[in-house]
Amino acid sequence: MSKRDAPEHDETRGLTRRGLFRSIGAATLVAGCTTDDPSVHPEQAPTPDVDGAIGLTPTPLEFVLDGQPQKLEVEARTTLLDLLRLDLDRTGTKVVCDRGACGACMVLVDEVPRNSCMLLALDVAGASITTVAGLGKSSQLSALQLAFVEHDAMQCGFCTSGMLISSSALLRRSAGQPLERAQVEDAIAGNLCRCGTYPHVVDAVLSVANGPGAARRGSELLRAKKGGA
Amino acid sequence: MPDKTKLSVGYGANIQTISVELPPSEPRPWDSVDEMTVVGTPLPRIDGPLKASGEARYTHDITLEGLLHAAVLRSPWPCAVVKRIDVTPATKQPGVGAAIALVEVGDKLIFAGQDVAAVAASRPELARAALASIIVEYEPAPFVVATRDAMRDGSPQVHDAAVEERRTGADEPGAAEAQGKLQGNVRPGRSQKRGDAKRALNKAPVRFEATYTTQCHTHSALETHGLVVQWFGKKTVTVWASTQSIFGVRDEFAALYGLEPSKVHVITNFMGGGFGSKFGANASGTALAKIAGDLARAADKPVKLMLERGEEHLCTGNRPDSIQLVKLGATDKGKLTAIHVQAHGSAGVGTGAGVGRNAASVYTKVPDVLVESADVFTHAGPAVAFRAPGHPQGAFAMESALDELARQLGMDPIDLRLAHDNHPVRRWQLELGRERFNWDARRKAAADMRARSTRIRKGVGCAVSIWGDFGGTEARVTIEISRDGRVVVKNGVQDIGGGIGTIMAQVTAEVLRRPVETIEIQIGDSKLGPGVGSGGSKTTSSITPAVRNAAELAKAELAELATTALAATSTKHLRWTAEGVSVGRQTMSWADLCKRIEGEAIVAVGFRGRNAAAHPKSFPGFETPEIAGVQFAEVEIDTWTGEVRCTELLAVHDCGRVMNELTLRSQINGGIILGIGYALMEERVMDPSLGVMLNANLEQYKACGVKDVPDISIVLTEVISGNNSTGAYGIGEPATIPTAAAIANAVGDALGVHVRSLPITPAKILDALEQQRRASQEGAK
Amino acid sequence: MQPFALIRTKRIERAREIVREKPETRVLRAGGIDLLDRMKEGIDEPELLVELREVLWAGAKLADGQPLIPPDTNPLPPAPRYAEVGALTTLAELAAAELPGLDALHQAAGQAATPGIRNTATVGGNLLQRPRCWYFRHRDLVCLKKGGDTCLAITGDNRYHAILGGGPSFIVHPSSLATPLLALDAVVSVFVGDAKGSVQQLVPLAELFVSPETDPTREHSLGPGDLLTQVWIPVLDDMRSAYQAVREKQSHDWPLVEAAARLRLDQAGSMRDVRVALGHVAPIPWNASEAAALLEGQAPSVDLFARAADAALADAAPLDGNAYKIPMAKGLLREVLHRASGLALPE
Repeated sequence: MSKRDAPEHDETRGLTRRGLFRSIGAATLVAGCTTDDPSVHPEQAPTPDVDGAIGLTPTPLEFVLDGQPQKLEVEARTTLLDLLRLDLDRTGTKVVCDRGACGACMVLVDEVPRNSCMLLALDVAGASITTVAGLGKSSQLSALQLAFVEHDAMQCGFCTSGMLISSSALLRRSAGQPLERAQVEDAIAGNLCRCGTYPHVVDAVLSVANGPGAARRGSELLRAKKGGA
Repeated sequence: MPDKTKLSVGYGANIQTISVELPPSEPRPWDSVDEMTVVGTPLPRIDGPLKASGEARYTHDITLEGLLHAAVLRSPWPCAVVKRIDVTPATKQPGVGAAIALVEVGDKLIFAGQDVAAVAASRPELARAALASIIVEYEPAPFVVATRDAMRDGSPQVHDAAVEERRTGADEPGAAEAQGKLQGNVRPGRSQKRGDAKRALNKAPVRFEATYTTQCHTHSALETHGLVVQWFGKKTVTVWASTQSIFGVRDEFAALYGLEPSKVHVITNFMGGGFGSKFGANASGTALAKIAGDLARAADKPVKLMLERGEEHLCTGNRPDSIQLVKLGATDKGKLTAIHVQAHGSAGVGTGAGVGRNAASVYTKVPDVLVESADVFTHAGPAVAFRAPGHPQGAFAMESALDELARQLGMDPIDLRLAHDNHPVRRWQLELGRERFNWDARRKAAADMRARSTRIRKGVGCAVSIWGDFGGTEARVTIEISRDGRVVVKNGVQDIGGGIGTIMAQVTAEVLRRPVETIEIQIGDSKLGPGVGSGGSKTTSSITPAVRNAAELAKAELAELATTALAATSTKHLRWTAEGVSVGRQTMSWADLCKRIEGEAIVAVGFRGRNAAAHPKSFPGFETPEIAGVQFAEVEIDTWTGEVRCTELLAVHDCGRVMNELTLRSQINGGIILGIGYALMEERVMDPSLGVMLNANLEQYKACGVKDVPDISIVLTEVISGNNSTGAYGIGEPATIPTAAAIANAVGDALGVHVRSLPITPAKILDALEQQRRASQEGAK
Repeated sequence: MQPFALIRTKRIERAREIVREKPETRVLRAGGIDLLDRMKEGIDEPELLVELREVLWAGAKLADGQPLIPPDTNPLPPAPRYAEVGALTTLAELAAAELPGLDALHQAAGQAATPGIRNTATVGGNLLQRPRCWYFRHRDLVCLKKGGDTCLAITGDNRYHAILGGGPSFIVHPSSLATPLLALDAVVSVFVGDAKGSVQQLVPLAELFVSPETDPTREHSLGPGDLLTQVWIPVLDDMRSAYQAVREKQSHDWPLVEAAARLRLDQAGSMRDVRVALGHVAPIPWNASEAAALLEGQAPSVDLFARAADAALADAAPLDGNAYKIPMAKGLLREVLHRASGLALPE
């Protein structure tokens, strides 16, 4: 049996070209596909014969990134996240799930926090993008970033830039009004942190919104000391 | 004979003076009399600004000239034999620099997600696209992925022969090689034994027996496993790795390619979480280093291999599931006479299912104890150490069984624990929590809600932890004090997120009496001298004593210079302050003192001494010197919908001397929050008839988010043991051990019936309520 | 993702035409969240995305009037006023809109997905998204919806699958907006015109969705290129509504079960114009008309709500792993009825 004849949709339920089966030992199966299948020659895929279609080949894109105008060319399939990390070396924006489920890649698009993995680069034509780098450099941190440092709102640090973007958007929206804990939790509900730093993130944001006394009780140390703890 | 040194040690107000022998090189350990000025303060982590600005470069962020991106083709089959493999079509795809097969014809693949072939291309999407052109033919074979199914006679056998155990520095301390012989898919592991539990059970007037199950739990570190390999000829290589063990990566990489370890330069400036899964160059279920190394050689370019989220779930490790039959024997007065745990767990195709030591080592007043555990092999990705390997699952079963027995006997769960636990600190912690958590009043309120069958119920529960890793002596820390006054501390340890660099600066500042911000820390690089792997909660307890000892050595040299310069009669008369050093009214500034250094710098290398006091068994007054912790949880349950939330959690923990209360709190919060996910929502779901994982993402694999976090309070019961020069222990693992068990017990208190299976989902709550309703109807008849 | 191209147009007819020329490889794109997700998984590999950003409108407001449709063909339920929501409105915008009586809709929009996703995902896309079923979403599996011959949930892990209206497919409809919109008796405008003429059809929401018995490979009735342009919601005087979902995780999770109810209380305190919908229990958003019939004209009471919940789930036929959804849906519906009617929930 040639590989072209391999059963792609036979009686075995749950089978694709890439792979799966149902009945045991049924037949040999092709994991990939053959080289004469046009779908594996991406660069030779037919150009849609529609006037005005763009992005199959690199297409001009202009936008503003952290205050700096950018002018470059990208393919339609390049996500905003890949553009930032791979083409522009803005690696403060992280890739974690690549499906909009973790918030590590959050950026502000015209001040609105959005998952850059679920946007195409070409979507932000003419927009102003703010990444974590645009909030403040390490030598000149913004108040929110400083609060993150002071409250230890980070452990491994991989969620930090996304947390900062989500919470900076909240602070912009609230425009100096005091915030409730629940509002902060709502704002970062899409940001996953596997180290479990959430309580300190909430404390940090509240300290900026409501003043330094806003943090709740954290820990109490009972010292080993002669005469009483 | 070495001099005896007097130390003031203990916990709370229970302080006693002991004499210990110290080797000449070892400074007197800081004890309860020593007043710290920098150590213990809540200093924000020193690399915080780099993380908060996105400037911190992780392995995933490394860019190099000519860098290629790798992608791996993985078996979609849970079990199959490779009949054909051809990667040449991939080499013709756009942007591809190299394509390699990772299997040969005839190889048997034994889990969905196993390595098949790999490609390196100029962009990640091109590498992934090229994978589709690789030709592989598989002959599928029978498989089994459900643990209970795999235990049955005649189920497809995963391994035909003995299985080599893959061990890492994150494994449970003291875990021995499993000795049992493979029977079908079941391999009995080591047992923990005291007395004759079976006989005692037979004689017990009160018996309790129940089976508890826990799910497979994936580490899901935010930074996926990955590395960047850059060869310089055949014999020298630089590897950037997202690892929790730089030297583990170095040694494994060197072994893979037959290199001198010193020719393998490993860099981990920042890493995005590991939780036990990132030891070694390869991951437990994918040969990361071999793939990236081979691709880099084949393409003659540096290669970055960064796993996608789905792969991370499939082949980089997990916490094994468990099925635990717990039998307790007791007198009708509530005196426990026997504990017998028979545990089975699946580490997939790998080994390492276990149940920790709650049953065997916490309740030391129980005379007869037997804990048996066995690995069950299934066609699923191999497990690997995961934050307190074995312990959360074992704690869930043992602590649940105790609560159920207490309910059966009409006893208070805290009283039952106190009656059988000898550990003085844990006993103190239980009493502290009882008072601070308002335990009695809340238990009463819960009983009242149960009696009235309210729609919303609340309940409280507690559970305990035990941990026994006190750090090692392998680290070598270098401190350089330059003529210009700079202080640089160097070690090849990586920061897994605990903030070890910050604590190194604090310890150095404490010894040298220098402002902490003037201490420069260099870590995360194998060229900086031997560090330790961040596993077993031993980074702080291994590294900080070495830092202190190096700083003391450097200071001693400075003291000699100061004594001469200030014409003091002895170094003992020197007073060290932030300004410099003084004798009487004479003061010499730090800058002036350092100018007297001969040559470029004082360079001191310190290590944690192997001395009498270093052994935890010497801790005074403890039969069981392990690290103790207790957590108390409150849950709220909507009995109409089954919705369950942990609303409040009190964590009472010992971690030796607190080095930094701020970063410590972060770690404890993190352990608790991981435990909440384990208790209530996380679960790897495998389809039993297709053999594949159904939720290999971060959407249906449900890690705890901010709204799932309760109000957490932490009480630290400091213990000063004198067992190393700083007195630090670890906390990363102890903090996650009791959480799920405490929540399960709180659920039991709220409902009056226990949910014996993790995660405790709304579906299981509704099921438990239905069972309870039926039981009460039966009872009424 | 395989390479693809984009096309931007301002003309709705043009957008529809482009897709209709080659419907198998061309798709409409609004927020694109679900589309991009499927493309990343390789479940869909379109060659051309037709951008709707400049074609549709965004906004949620009380309408000035109602669509110009001859009364005899107008499916809009009679109401003193209507709210209208543009298909391009993001979930975040919808959650923040202030529309009287539409609490159920605001609540559903504000809980769906994550804050970041809600800033991109649109009302139209939410209604027309593909199921989240883990068999459908698995790149290596071919289920009934992807051309296979059986629904893999039947013998597989079906904890998140349908208990009502299932077969031959047992997905649950993923739209969290559909549940309250169904309870609110919404109607959608669908553009089906071409260069020859502009044609808008009004389709009651219930008719937008396709039962798997009719066609297991699709979830909605729109033809290729047809555009859902806006949603109309009747706003009754003194209308009240509520929505609630049960989730395993509170921060970001798909619901296990959703319930929504709409009603108004007459002067005697009886419930009128009652509509009840359940979500994530069936392959289509589920109109619990038996429950509504039981409630109509009655005064709210704990017992009545319990009976209505029983009626709503009377036909439930669970698979082996999702029977829990029956008591859950009943309990949730009772809570929603309490909230919608204002009758205090028991302690």
